Amino acid sequence: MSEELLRVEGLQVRFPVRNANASVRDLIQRKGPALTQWVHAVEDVTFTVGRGETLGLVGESGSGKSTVGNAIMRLVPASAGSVILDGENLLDAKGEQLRKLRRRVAMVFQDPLASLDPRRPIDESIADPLQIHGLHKGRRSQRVAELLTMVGLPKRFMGRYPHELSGGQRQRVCIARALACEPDLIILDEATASLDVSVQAQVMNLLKRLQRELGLSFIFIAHDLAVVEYMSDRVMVLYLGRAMEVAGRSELYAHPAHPYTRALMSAIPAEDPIAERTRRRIVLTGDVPSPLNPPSGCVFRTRCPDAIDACAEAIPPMEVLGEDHTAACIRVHDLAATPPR
Amino acid sequence: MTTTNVSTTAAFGVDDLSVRIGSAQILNGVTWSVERGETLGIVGESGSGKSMTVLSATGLVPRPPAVVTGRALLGQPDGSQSDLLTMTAAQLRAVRGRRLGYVFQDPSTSLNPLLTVERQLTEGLEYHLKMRPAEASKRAVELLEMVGIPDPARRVKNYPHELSGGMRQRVMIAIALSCDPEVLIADEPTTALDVTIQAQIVDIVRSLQQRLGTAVIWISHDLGVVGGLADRIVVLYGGQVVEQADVETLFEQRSHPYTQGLFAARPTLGRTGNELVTISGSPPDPRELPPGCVFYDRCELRLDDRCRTERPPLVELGPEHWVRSFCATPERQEATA
Repeated sequence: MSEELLRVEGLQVRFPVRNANASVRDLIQRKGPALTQWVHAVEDVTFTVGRGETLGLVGESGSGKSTVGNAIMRLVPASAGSVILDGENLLDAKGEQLRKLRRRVAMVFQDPLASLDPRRPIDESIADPLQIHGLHKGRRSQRVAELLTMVGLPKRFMGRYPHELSGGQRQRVCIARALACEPDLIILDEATASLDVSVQAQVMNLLKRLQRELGLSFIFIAHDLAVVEYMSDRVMVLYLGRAMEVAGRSELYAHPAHPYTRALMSAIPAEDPIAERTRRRIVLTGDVPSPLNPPSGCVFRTRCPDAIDACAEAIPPMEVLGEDHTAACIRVHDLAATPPR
Repeated sequence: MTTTNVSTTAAFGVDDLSVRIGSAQILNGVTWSVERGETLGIVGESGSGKSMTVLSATGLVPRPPAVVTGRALLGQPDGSQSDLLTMTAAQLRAVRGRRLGYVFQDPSTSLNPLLTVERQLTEGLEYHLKMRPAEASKRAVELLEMVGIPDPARRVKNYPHELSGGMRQRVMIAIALSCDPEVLIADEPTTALDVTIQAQIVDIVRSLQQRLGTAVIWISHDLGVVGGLADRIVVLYGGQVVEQADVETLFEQRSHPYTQGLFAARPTLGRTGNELVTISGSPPDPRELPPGCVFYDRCELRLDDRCRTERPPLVELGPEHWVRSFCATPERQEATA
């Protein structure tokens, strides 16, 4: 792996919510069910991102993949763990130090229309981070023009409003804004999910080109496994706030080891309709359990086709399966004997 | 004129359907049909008109402002076909929900948040099938069981917010199928759902169709989902049918440059490294459609004069394989390859 840029260790994010089952009497008498319950959004997530590398975070809704991104940026408070960017812990940083660190990490979100101020022309939105960080004083409009060119938009777009652009163009504006302060890392949270297939491909190619040219690192968050495969060097699969499997891209897709990863891959429709009709699929039953009360032991065991009694007993440790390939499953070595279906 | 027609045995079909709203030409001469027990996939990007084709055909687009022309034919038990576009509001109400079932993309906005699942299921049963309340309630539980909801007797008393997204969509399917419709219209029914839940929903619809013989119209932007489900596929672009074929033919001999681009632009498992082939630009504005081929601005195979000024007709390239392009001939594709 390339030189390490970001190290996230033991990240935990829990949100308090009011217990809907607790009554006023419970409040007064201070007994009965606890008044506050905790949403276990992210539990003990550890990973690293190298310079110029893309780490894909993949999972279904409620898996905690967006919360991981938000916690790195301190958009939500982490309950425990550390986020080390080039030796400095982002989670402890305050004031000026935090501002300096944040300059080095940028974010792009799913819905570009919601991420841009509808009442301001796009060049003002792109210049915002420059102003906040006091960069390029006196030549900001030149810098904005440069950024527009970098993301493949004509300079004449300066002065236009978000509603005058198409979805793909708006997402390019958001990417330009993320690039404004020359970050080391960009967190892309479902950045291509709202775009049509043909436009999505344009934006993915743009991101790859920018990464090559500028040596950027990406955390690419998405629910679409094929998109993640295309974009990532390494991939982490999340389920109910916990890492299920982490591996290099080609290793993960060629030899998925965790039962959840296997089910997720098998749920994707095959390209070829004839193969699709005849192939065997693992269709998971049921829904993702509530993060308020995650299952004991392995959080996936309630839907796992390979679960055994021991799965309920302890949280499975990350089993090492090879160089840069780990999976949190106690049966992963016996299951490895059966080929992925 | 060379064009496809609605077959006389079709359960449902639209014939030369056009929709205009103000200066926007949303649909332009769209024709397709679906037989009993068959699944028709309608594929296109946002703005291609894929949802409008079923909404306008079943009277769910207010007229005015929309101007709808053409025919929307629903097969009758006696073998004749009646045109929904000439029906009165009362006649349409007797058809929608009874003979046509709908499942839309977002189950949380399609269900009424103030009513229990039971009430929403029994409403159609009482209105259309004239069931008594007790009988309808019993049937509601059976319907929930049919779509694979565990503990249906308890779930039927729930409100939509008490259900997960996947369960809500299963409730929608149960409502859509409650009156044994001949046609199920599924408009992006799995787009808002996770892949593992999507796989469950696809399985449910497939097995119910086999059992009940329903004709299914499955609208999606995702060729992958439609490919595994549909018998035939219609590709829409700029409000027109640009290609139509049975699913094997479409996947093997995709002929319209737009269909080819859609396949190439879609990241699929195992295809990495190379840049994705993109379709440059974005779909046309329905208020300013080009006079010639609707795909002209984005097409890499275009012939300058003819494609710009002349609108290509829908031509039968092979048996039941229709393409609207001057560039779909083998000679043309080889010349530019």
